[in-house]
Amino acid sequence: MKRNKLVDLVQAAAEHAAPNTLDLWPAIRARIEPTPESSRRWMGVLTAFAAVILVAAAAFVIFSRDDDPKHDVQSEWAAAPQDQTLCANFPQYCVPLVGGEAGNYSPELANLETSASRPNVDSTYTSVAWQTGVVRGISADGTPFIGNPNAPIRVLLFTDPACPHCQEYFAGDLKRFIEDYVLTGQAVLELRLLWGTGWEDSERAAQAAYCAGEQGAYWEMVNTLFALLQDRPASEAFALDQLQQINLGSDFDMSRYGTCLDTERYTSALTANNVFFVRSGSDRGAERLREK
Amino acid sequence: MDEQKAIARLQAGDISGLEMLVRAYQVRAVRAATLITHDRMLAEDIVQTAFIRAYERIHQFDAARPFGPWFLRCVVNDAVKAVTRRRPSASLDDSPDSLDLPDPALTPEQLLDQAETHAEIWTALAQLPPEQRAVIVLRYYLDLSEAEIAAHQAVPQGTIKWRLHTARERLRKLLRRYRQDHMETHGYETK
Repeated sequence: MKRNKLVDLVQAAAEHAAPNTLDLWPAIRARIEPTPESSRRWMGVLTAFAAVILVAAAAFVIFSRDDDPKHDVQSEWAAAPQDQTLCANFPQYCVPLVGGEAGNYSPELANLETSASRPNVDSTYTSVAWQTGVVRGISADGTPFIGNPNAPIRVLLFTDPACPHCQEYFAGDLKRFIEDYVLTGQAVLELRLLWGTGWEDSERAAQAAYCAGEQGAYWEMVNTLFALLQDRPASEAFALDQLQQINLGSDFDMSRYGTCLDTERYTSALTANNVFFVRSGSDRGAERLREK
Repeated sequence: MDEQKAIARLQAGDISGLEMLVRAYQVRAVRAATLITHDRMLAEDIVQTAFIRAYERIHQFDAARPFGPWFLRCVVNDAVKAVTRRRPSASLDDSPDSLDLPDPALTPEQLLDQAETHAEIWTALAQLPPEQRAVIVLRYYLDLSEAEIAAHQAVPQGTIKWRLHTARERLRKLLRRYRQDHMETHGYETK
């Protein structure tokens, strides 16, 4: 009975603590099934969260290697037709230079980056590699190339103007390769620019090269960029005011070039270059050299 | 709808199963939590959250076992945690029952017999540490056995026996003091 007394007392205290008519269900249901107002609030939060996730995913794609076999571009490369590097072979990586549909890359660049339309550039900026008479153009996937388009060897080179190793390679082995293979018609060289070393400095420099390409002077500008970096840091060499002052010759339209720089219209193309570069495993330092 | 059907419905994604469980256990759960927290609003929030957590984790629940005892023990645990968080500095030394009260002339049972109203036990419970309130609620309100309490709290049954003994002793001292205060207030002579 003594225990029962305590039970009775606690029971009585409990009954006074909350009435039998208590009903938590509406509140619980509201917490499980939010009202339209709170749904909208949560949708806003979720949208913001999703945006953060998307940005993070994009950064991951650009800055990290993907070892997933599904994205092994080297295998895809091996399976691709031996004589072509076309968007059709690498649809997930191929982004036209200025956006839009495949094949719609920078019409200006495609029309002008040819030996026929190339302006009379100042010889100061012309090395043996880019001498007059060498065939140049834009490949089917929007990559500027130099050399015999029907050559049995096709080289796709990724380079960052701010990268010291690229600088060394550009002035050494690449020069020899161009002299021995490109100028002799045995190989065609495609060149895509990256910004992974100098970041915004490299990106500005690459934009300058593509903008010069609209006037047929892509290769001259690349040559100039590497020359500029020989005696100063990238932040100085590729500062916007520095790039804006580069005049490649009497036929070079500085106004048009400056406007192009301001629009930064090749940002998507440069991003595509970086994605392709990382996804293809090229950041291991291997050059792509293929023979028909 | 019986409890097992309600849980089966809930596990199948039918929210009506949860409504049945809420209506079956909400009052006891809120009362138990209120006895421990001495805060009705906090108790309701604890119980709502416990129901939602049960809803979210219902797939982990063994439908063959009774829902009520498990759920109410969870509520008691949550209430103890909530009170402990709110009053982290509470200690045995702070308890009024650590006052140097005279030796009892009455047994705890006799004192309990003399407790007239729920208000006395309510006030006395408020003076106990949260863990002791919880063991009183589990044993004397929710009617769990010492073995069940021990199993839920993952401690030896002897530990529960000791906690219950300590809690009752403190209640006895508190009730005795209230009784003395009551009698003095009304002009009765006390021992």
